[in-house]
Amino acid sequence: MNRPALVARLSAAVLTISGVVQAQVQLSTKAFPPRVEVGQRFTVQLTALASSSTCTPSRPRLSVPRGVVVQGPSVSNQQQVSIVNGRIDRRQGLSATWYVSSTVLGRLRLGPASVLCGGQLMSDRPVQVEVVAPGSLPSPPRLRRNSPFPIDPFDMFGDDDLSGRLFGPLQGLGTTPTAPEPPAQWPQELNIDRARDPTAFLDARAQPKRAYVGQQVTLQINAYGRPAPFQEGESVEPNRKDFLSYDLMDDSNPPDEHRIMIGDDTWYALQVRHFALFPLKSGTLQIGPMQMDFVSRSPFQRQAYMNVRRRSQTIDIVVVEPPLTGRPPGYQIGDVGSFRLSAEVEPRAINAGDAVSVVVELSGTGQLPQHLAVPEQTGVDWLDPSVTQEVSIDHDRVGGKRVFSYVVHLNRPGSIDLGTVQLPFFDADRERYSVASARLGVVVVRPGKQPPPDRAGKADSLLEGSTPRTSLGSVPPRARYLADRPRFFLWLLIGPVAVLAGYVSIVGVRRLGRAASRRRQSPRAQVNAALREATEALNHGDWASTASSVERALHLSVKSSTGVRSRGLLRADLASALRDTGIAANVAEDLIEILDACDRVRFERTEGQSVDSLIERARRLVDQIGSHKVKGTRAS
Amino acid sequence: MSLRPWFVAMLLVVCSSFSAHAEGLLQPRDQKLFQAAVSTLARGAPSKAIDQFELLADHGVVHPDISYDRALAYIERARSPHAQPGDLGRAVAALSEDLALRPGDEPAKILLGRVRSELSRARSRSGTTSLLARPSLQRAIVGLLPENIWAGLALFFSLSTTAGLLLRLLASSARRRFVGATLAWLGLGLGITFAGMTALSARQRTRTRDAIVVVPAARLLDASGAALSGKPLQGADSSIPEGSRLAVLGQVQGLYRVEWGQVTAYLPMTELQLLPKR
Repeated sequence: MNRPALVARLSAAVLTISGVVQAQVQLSTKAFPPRVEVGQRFTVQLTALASSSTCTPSRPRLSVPRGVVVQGPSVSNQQQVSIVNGRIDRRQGLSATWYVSSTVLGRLRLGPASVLCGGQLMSDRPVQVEVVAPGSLPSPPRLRRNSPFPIDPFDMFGDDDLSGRLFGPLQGLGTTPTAPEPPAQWPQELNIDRARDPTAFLDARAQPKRAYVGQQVTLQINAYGRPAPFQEGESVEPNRKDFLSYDLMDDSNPPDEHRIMIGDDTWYALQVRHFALFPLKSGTLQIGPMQMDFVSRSPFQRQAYMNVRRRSQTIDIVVVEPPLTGRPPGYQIGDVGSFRLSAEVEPRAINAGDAVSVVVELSGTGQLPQHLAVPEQTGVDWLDPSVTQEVSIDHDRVGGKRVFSYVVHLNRPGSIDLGTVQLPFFDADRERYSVASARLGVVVVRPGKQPPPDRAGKADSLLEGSTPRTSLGSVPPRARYLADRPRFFLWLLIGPVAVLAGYVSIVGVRRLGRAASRRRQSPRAQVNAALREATEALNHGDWASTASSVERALHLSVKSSTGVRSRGLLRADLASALRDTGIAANVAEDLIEILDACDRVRFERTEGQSVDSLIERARRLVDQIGSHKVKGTRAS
Repeated sequence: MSLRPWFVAMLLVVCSSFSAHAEGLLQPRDQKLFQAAVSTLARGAPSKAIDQFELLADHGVVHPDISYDRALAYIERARSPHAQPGDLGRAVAALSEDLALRPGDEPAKILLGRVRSELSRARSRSGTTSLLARPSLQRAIVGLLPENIWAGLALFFSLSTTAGLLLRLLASSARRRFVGATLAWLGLGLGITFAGMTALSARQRTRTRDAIVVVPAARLLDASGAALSGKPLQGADSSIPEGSRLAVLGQVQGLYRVEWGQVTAYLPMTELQLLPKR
């Protein structure tokens, strides 16, 4: 074969393969809206789907002419499943969205958009967008003045919203900023009771402040400035890490700045952030402050907001879980809103081993659940669904629909009731649980040629011999721990401590007994005993015994205090002996006198009255002699 | 011999009364839910059965047989096309709960062993390296014996100290006094040691809770919620494998403070399932 022929055949083969791949990749490019003004943003979306066995589209690109600014793309994965006569056709790919704006007028030719698939560049057809002059398209209704003219001839330089847009750089020239005309009306959501700062401030507000996990909390942050119209400079987003966040602001139609009255003053107000937040957990969750630099819109009033940076308030949201009472089985924390389910099943008659398509559409308001619990049963295998969703915002409430497309294999012949798809949710508005459900109905499964695959064998190794327990058996009592008993550790100490304490107490008692005995035998105790005996004898009229006892008490006292054995001395020697020991002379004389008196009582039987006084005198004398001893002891 | 049938009959009566008592513990609503969950599981719908068993748990119903059935449901779902990450970890948690409530449940022990082996095989297949868990020295020593054994030993040596003191103080012969003194000192030392072990064991039991990891890999964090790294991990990966048992020391701002081997760190509360107290 000559060379030109070989090249021609190879080229033909390449073209053929390319054509096959091209045929198996579906490309679709759309631009929206098809007619825009100069500078207005619009989107170009490319969808590329390929059969899973062919290739996977990647690297989307969009070529544009000069004067067109492109941002993006934002890429998301796509799946498509179709079933025709029980045959499944699964396609996968991507969807790429570019945000485009044009600075040139005329009919723009955008594209072709392209993707790489299996190493080949696949291109779609170009799309066209018509770009017209500013103001050529109908503008959205304004809230402030009901002027029929798009431009107010009396406010060319602009503090009016619309003309302010057109002549933004000249704003502030035509009016005196310090005394603007009082505004007629403004959106109610910008109202505020009082200014939090004399120049500018941010105000954050969230509703509701107490929410359930998964319930929408709407956060709005407004900026207020007094000196002049302003715009957002550098800003720091509010921290909302404990929430799933949706931006409720429409980028293509940003909110207008309005003049409003706060008290008697005119302010410029602008909604800068608007979010739908869905709490992810319970507790007191915090929405952090937003920071924003205020920048004057007019180049002639730059000084009005020189270095003005403000922070919004921090907001605490108390988040709780929905009540346990009335909670239906299968309820997942976070499924809060109002939802509806609808389902379509087709075909209704298949052969065993084939599949049906079950498309379940979940719609409503609230954060749409990511998963649905499907009615499983033996012989019915639900494959993972492909999911498409559309999020919509209606009166600041997030909602939309999510479509779950399942492929369901039916392996068992007969009339199979697929059951009901159910989604329990908590309706926060009505404060009660509800269950959205969609009945799937019956599918007739004819006996197939091939036996259904046996999936049960896989589980046997793990669950072998394990069957569910249909009744509840006895529960052994909870283990009791010795350490849980009150004063257990005290009981550990009690034995040794008791023994030691007993020993110490026995020894102590013995020592106390000995001390008491010693005390009983002390001279002072004997003196007192003798005086007590004297008193008793006197009471019985036994004067002689009384005198003897008194005499004995005195001798004992002298002996214990001075060491002088007075009983063995003559009375004449006794006085001098006592004086030698330091006893006062009058005390010694008293002693001798009492001893003589005792002798008289014993031998001469003196009257009882004098005996009575004798005891008292002896008692005093004993004290005096005793005190002499004490003094002597201290002196020594 | 004639007593034996009577004994068996009485045992049966006692057992059935216990069973009836256990069933009677459930409120009619929960009893109905339990029966529905069991029949759902038998019908081959483990996901729905799990929902029903979990709702029973939300109602505060704790019973070893319910835990066992819940474990079966999780295992069945783990082997189905609808397997969720962490299903086997939750099965381990349910079986551990069963064994905490009924320590002698042999079928649960066997099943728990199988599930743990399955998790080990899965880890080997995926080739993941996980943090090795060597218990702290204190936990290892305290764990040598059950708490009541420590307490019994402490009591025994308290008694021996008492006996030794009595012998030392009351005996007349020097030899007996020596024996008594030795016994008292030995008993005092060992008694204090075992009382300390009892106190530590009781402290671990009352101040920490065991928990099971119910996600495929729980990554250890610091108190601020950032991933743990560096010295505490001693070069190991910071993820704890599914089904692992660890001790929870406390909680702070959505995180559990946990002790995993010798590492003390934090884990998100959603990644652990607490077990009932022993």
